[in-house]
Amino acid sequence: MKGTNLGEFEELVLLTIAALVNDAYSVAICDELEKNTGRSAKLGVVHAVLNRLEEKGFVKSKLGEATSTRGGKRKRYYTVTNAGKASLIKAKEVRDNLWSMIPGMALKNI
Amino acid sequence: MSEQHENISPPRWAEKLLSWYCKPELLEDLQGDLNEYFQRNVKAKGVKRAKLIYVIDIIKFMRLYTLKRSARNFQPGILLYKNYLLTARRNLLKNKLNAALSFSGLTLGIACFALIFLRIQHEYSFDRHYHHADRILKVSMSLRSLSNEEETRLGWSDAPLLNRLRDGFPEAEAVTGIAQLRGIQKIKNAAGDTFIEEGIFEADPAYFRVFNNRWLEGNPETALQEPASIVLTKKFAYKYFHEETALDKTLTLNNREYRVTGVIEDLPANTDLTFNALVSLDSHFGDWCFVYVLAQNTPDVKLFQQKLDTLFADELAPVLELSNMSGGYLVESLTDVHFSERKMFDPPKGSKTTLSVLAAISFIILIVSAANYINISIAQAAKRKTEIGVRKVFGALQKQLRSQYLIESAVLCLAGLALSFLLIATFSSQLVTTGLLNHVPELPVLAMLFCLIIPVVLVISILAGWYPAVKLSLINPIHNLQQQVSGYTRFTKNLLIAFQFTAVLTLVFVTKAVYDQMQVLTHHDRLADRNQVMVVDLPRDETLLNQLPQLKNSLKSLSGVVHVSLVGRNSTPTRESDFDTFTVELAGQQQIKMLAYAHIDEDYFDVLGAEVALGRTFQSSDVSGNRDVVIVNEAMVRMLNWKNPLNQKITYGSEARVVGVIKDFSFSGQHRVAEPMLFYLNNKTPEKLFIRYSSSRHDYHNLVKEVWQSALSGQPFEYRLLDDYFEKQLENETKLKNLLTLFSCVTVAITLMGLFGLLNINLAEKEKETGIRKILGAGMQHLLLLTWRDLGALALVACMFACLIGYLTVQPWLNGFAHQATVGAANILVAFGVLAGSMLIAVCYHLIKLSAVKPVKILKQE
Repeated sequence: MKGTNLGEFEELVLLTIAALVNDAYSVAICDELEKNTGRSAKLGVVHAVLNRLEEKGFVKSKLGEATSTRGGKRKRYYTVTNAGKASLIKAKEVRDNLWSMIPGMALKNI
Repeated sequence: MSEQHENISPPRWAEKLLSWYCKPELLEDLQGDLNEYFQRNVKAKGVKRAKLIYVIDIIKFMRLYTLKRSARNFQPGILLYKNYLLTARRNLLKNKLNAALSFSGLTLGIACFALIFLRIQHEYSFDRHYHHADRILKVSMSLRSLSNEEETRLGWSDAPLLNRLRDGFPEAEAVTGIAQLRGIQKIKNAAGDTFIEEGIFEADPAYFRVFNNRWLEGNPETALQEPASIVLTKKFAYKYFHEETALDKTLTLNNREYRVTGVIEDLPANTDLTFNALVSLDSHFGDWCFVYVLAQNTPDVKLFQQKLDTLFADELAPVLELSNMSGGYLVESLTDVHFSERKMFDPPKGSKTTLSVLAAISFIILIVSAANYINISIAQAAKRKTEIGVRKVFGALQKQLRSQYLIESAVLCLAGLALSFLLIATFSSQLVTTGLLNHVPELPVLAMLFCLIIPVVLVISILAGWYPAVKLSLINPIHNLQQQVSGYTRFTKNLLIAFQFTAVLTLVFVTKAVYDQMQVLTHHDRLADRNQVMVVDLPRDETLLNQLPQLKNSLKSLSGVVHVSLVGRNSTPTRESDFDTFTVELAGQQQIKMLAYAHIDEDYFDVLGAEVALGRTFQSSDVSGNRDVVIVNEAMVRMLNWKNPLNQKITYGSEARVVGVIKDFSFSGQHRVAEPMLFYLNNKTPEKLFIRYSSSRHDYHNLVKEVWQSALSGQPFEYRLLDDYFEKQLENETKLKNLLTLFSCVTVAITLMGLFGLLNINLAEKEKETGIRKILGAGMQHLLLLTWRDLGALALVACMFACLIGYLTVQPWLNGFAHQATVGAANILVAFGVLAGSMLIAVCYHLIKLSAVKPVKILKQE
């Protein structure tokens, strides 16, 4: 079995899916990621990550309605599963924990 | 505007590529995404860029997770493959005869192919075994007469070139010269064993810096430093010293003592410069030697050539101009030397044309044997219909059936490959003696070649297996009870047979032409009964000179001996004669000419059986060595356009008078037309003794030997027949002839096997038909005609193609000879005769089989 740890980029993608709610399909995810991180997100990379997240059971997907804009092809919409939500929360907890352990002085001069 | 963009679609082929490789469950979504990006890019970056990005993206999406898994839902598994092999084995065992026929055909084809491959590998490996072979250059020289632009290319260069190269060419790391000692040498070891040897060369100390031979004893740096040193090859050292070490022992070479300073490994078969021993130089070479240069880095041959051209113009051109000559140096890389144009005094060369013809033939044979396999396995398919039907009913896919047949043919081909290599390895020494192989191949070479040929054989197995596989896998189980498989493959079958027939006819056609050419070569020279002339080597020992006339007289008195001649320099036919410059009269002017000459005695022409055209031969009144009379050949008269050749003057130092003209005989061998030649009377330094005896009795050499030993006791007696010298010249042609003969036989055999296989199957298939025909009163001739009408027509068609191909192949080869055999009706007749003969064998077989068909047994139903 693949590990259920969440990589940094995986976490970002998962968060974006959650943020986009009902409109999370691959191109939209790419655009959103680019907008928020300022980095260019390649479709190939995002697609691979989506595939991996689905394998890990963090997201599930279903095909939407046919549209005329994409050469008649349907979009695949992603939603975060419970396991996905749990792992997001866990990741946030780890971070918060670590943040809380840093004494206030240490980061002041940054 | 934007609507226009909407209509632009991404490249179709890229879309197809995507849907070909992509998993269906991912496909639609991906197509959509890429399309969306594409439309965006069209707006932002233009159509061209967008298309490019689209294609790149599709290629980038080829990842493990997007790739389609095998379309089949289940894998045939190891069990099924095992079953394929089992079925293949059962089938082979069930039809032993057919299996044996197609298997031996394949084996023969592959063996021929491997044989030629070995030969080609050998020819291309010449002299590449030396370290830095790519850095070694050979310098040779050509001489041109300024009066008639005739060019003579020598394998040699002038000896002073060595020092000029050492001084003026910093890019040369080492320069060496090597030259064969003239004539035959007498060598004696300490125990007193004496042998006559050839292939002793003198070389300067740098030889082993240029060529890194493998040393068994001694030091390559110093071995040839001292005068009177000798380096032996292993075989040679064993001959004189047996098991003992040869180092620092002495050998007597022509009455002078030499110290053995080294022993090297025997030279491999694939080298052009072969020697048995190297002796050190006394001071410098004579006029000529082979020149080799080891360049510092990978040499620029063109630049080197330019520098040598300048050198030639500065140093040699002025000297040569005095004798109305010009010329130049020629630089070749050592690795090219084996295939370059042959120059005088060069060892025999390889021929790329011959090799490529042989390669083509071996491919043809391979395909002929594959054709056999295809025909037999398709024809046999009738028997396997049931098996295929059952497999299909149980759910076998076409693909699986195809792979089953491909596996069968691959197994058969690989087995044939293994067997053919086994055969070659076992019979390699016999193959070498018949000239089919150049040398016994070493095991690593064989193993390497085996691996190299595997892909070729696999391709052949696919070629051979594909057609049957496709045809057989298409059989419909429902129809297979009524349908004849052979019905729709008849065209293919006939095509393959026609191909085989053409191959047979062409090969026989070509072989016949080669045989004819050999006939022309051996019988063209006008020397009668060469096998009745014995050529004995004379020792180079001046103390014996005055005993020779007496030996000659006592040999003459032997009963049966007709003529005896003591001949000197350059006078053994087939040897390359030395040239020198002579002043002759041409068109009323005195001109300097390069001419070949020989030193002979008064009996020379009698021994050879050459006829006098005009004037006389030498008489006892002519004084030997005086050079006041000379005999020329007809070619000379033709060249100089002499109306009245007698009493013309030829000057070489002193003036000589022409006293006779000899009819042309092929002195320089059968490949060339007779060259102009001069014959001087000079028996002061004889090299050979020619003895002509009246009948070909076998024990003449014993008689001669007795006389020899009583006259010159203790001198080794070695002789050859004059015929052998000519045979040796024809070595290459003889080898080619043998190879072609073998190939023709193999092709005939393979084709015959194919015919037998087809007949057998045909008989089995049409058993009932034959029975019914017999009952209705068909005679044997009718039954035979049914099958053979087609085959006869195919043979005739094949004949036309074969004549054309054969003629086009053989004529260029024939053009290389001075005297050519004619290619014509005889070749066609022989080729057709061979094919008809082998078909007749098959007809007889067919007849016997047909007559054994008993209608009662076949048609009864119980």
